[in-house]
Amino acid sequence: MKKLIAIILALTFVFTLAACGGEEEKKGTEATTTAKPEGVMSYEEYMAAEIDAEVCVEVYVQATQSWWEDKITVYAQDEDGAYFIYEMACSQEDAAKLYTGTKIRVNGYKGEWAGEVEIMDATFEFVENGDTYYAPYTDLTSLLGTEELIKHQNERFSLKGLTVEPSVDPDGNEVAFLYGWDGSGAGKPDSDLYFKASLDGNTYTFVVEYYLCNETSPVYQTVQGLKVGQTVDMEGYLYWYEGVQPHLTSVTVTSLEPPMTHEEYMAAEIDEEVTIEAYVQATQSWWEDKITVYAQNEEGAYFIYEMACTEEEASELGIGTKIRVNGYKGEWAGEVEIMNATFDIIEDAEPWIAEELDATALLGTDELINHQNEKVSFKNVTIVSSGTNTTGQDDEGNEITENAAFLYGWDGSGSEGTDSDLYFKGSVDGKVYTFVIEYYLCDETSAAYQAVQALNVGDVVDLTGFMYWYEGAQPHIISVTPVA
Amino acid sequence: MRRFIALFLLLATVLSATACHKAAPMESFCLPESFDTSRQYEITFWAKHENNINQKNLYEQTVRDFEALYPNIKVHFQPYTDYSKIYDDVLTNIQTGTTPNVCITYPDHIATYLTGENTVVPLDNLFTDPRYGLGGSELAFDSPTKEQIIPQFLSECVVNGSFYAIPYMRSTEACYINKDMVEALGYEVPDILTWEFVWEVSEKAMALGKDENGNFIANGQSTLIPFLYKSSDNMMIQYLRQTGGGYSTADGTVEIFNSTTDDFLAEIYTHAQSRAFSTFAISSYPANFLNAGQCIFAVDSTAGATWMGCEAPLIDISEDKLVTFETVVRPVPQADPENPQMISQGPSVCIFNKEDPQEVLASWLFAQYLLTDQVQIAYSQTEGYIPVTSKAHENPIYQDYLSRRGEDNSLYYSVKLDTAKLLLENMENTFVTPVFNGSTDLRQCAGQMIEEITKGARRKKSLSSLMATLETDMTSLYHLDEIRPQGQSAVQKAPLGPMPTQSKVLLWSLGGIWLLLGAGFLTGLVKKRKKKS
Repeated sequence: MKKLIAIILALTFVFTLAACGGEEEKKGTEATTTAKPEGVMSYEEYMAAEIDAEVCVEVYVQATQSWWEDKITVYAQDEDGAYFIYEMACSQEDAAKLYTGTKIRVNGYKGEWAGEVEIMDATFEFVENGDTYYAPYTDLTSLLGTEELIKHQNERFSLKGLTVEPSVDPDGNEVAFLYGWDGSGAGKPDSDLYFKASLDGNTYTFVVEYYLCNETSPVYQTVQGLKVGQTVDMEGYLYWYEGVQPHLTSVTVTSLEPPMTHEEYMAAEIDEEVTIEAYVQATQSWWEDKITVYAQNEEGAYFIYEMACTEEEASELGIGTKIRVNGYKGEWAGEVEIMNATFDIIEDAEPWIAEELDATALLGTDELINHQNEKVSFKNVTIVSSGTNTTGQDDEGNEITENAAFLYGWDGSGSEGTDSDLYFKGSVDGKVYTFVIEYYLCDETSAAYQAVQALNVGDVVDLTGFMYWYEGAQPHIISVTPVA
Repeated sequence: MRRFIALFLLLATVLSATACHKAAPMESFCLPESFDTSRQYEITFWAKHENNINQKNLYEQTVRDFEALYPNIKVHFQPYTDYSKIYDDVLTNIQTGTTPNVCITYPDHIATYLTGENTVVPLDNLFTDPRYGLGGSELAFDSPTKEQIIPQFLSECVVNGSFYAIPYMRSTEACYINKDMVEALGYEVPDILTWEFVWEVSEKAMALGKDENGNFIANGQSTLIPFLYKSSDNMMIQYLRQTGGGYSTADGTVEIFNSTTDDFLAEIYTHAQSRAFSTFAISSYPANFLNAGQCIFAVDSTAGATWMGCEAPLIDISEDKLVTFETVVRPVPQADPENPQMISQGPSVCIFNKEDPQEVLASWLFAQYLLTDQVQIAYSQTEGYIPVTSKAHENPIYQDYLSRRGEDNSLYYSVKLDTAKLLLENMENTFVTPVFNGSTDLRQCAGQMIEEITKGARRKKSLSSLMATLETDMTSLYHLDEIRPQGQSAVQKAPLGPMPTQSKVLLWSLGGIWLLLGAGFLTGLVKKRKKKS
């Protein structure tokens, strides 16, 4: 059975692809326009028939739901209109021959169920030497919400540019889709998927009918991955249930998912995939197709560690550039960061440069970590000794030492002329803090690096930098200004 | 047309000038009859220290002491804190013929350096020279003989059948254990850890779960990583060695993609999934977690012993995070406790060739000075290193040092001395991986596989999806398919193929220039002939 469905779906897919192949095919293949045989209704006659009237139509199969107990439900169409043939009597052998486009003659009774006009209790026969017809996908976007729409009931349609709206699951959570109409199908093997999408302020319900497109189908899987706020294009059959409730065969996400707010980012678990949008505030030097970025937006800041980046892309990451970053949240020695990230530059976004937050009063408080990675400043910092440097030997061979205002490397084991970071200590209100000039952020040619090299113990300076963390606050400084 | 020719000539000039910057192949080194002390020499020494000021100071002291012995040799010491930076810089300087004279390095790196002709000096003849060789009669210092270098360590310096380095310091990896936590979980720390034991205890710690405040019951904190490994490449390499799973052959055939590797990765996956295991690259320094009581088994180099344990002389976390516990040191987890295997690591020293053989000899004298007891013992005391000579091992000063375990938490820090003892007792159980051009890439691949699986497990990716592309991705990332087993040159294995279009254009252009020049010359000649006639 599954094979059959698979074959039919595969064929549907092939034909769908074929339909995408050219403008001519998009319009659908022309059904041979011949006079209807005696006793066969035209679409107009069918629609005019009373409910419960016996009807006979010749139509072209467009899709079938899965065969079941000698019954099959068919989405059919001809050049004039569409038909939903509910649980038509059909052997398994015949079901296998109901390819898309196949012409069949259907006898049954016209019915209506919750607004859906359909043929019930039908039997069928293949039209010998019948031609084939693949209905086009009619773009009904402009008809959504209008009285006109119902005239296209059961037709193959397409809709463009709808926005996924939240549904509420049984636990009261807002989700992008539900298993079953009320979410009660979660965990069941053959649940239909229901989701809502809006256009121009009106919200509609859409269904992935399990027996039309099961969990192995792309549309089922796409809907399982939907996120609220995404923009989607859809294709399917214009089914009705107390209003329009299309059965979908294709959903394409056309928009990026909305980025996380900073609050959502901070609330995310470590190792969770995260997507943010922020503005570059500084970059470390590009290296082997990677770059480390200090980024920020109005809500908060991000440290993006070794983001994948070509050298050419790196040259475009100017300060203020807005980027969209996707990666995994990580934590390394207390520093919350985005790892294994990729990015896109958001074109046409106005550049934004963060104002420094004066964090002087926050030093030594628990509040400081809430500003991790932000651009911050510290005012009136008094440089204190970071250790001692040996400057030579006296006449007796004893080492002459002096207090060092900074160290090359955390313990002085670095040296000038190499790529050593500079570590220095500053005192604010009697408490001492460590600051770093990160070489790959500000190298020896930078004003900040040189300013620290020129520091003396006792100097008073204002500092600007990023609130980096390594087992505690350890700001990466980018500017050192002597206080007059 | 003239502009056209001028452009081509300019291009040719530029290309020629560029070629001039590339070092010409050097003559192989020939040992001079004697060292000319009437001349002044300036040599450069590039060395890496473990972000440790004591090591840097010691190098500087060593240079001063050596210069006092050889006043005609000036040593310029260039400190590094990263081997890969030295490696990159050496490769760059090979191109420009400005390599250092003496360089701390790994044999893996030397194999790459040797792709340049006569770049690194083979030391076989220098070792055995009776005057300037190891233990030579003309040395101004007490050098060890070749026999006094630990054979295991010396053999690691053989590349392509010759000695291209001398060992300088040796370390291995050790497992630093929070004994209190192991015992609280109902276990005793065995003399030799097995992988099964480490996984079991780690999982048991996780299985205790969390209390109502979200803290792990095993340690009462919000963070717990029972098993944390610093060097994931060593983790994979040692496991494959212990189990006999393939890594590479001696000549450079890559064997790492095998069922033993797959099984190990699958094991790691389950423990990464439960968060019982993580790595340095993902979580930060094992020492920081160990010292905070957030890790039970922390595997790191013995050369990092001064950071390990709550009483370590070097601590990177704030005092309020420190937790008091007993630290015990064991060899890395083993597959077969009866036959322990552990990596031998630590720096070696190589000498770069120069046009002046006297300069090379001066370099050799300095390199050899690094093997004296004075340097060996002092440097080994900076971390959990051991000297590489039996001469130093037997030196009473070193013996005294070992006997004073735990006298203080600085020079005689117990954990540091325990790691030194661990390696001294296991010298015969150490191994190194084969060295060939590409072995550095293979080593990185070994670690990256663990990183990928661990990250993937934490990110809820299925093992099958991670494994499906791992070999392909790793092969591509580290160019493993370009590694040629020694004896099979790339030329033999892979034809050069058609010449690139750019090269064709250049050659045709140069040909065109010569034709134009030739035409001009002939035109002139014809004119001259006409005049003459």
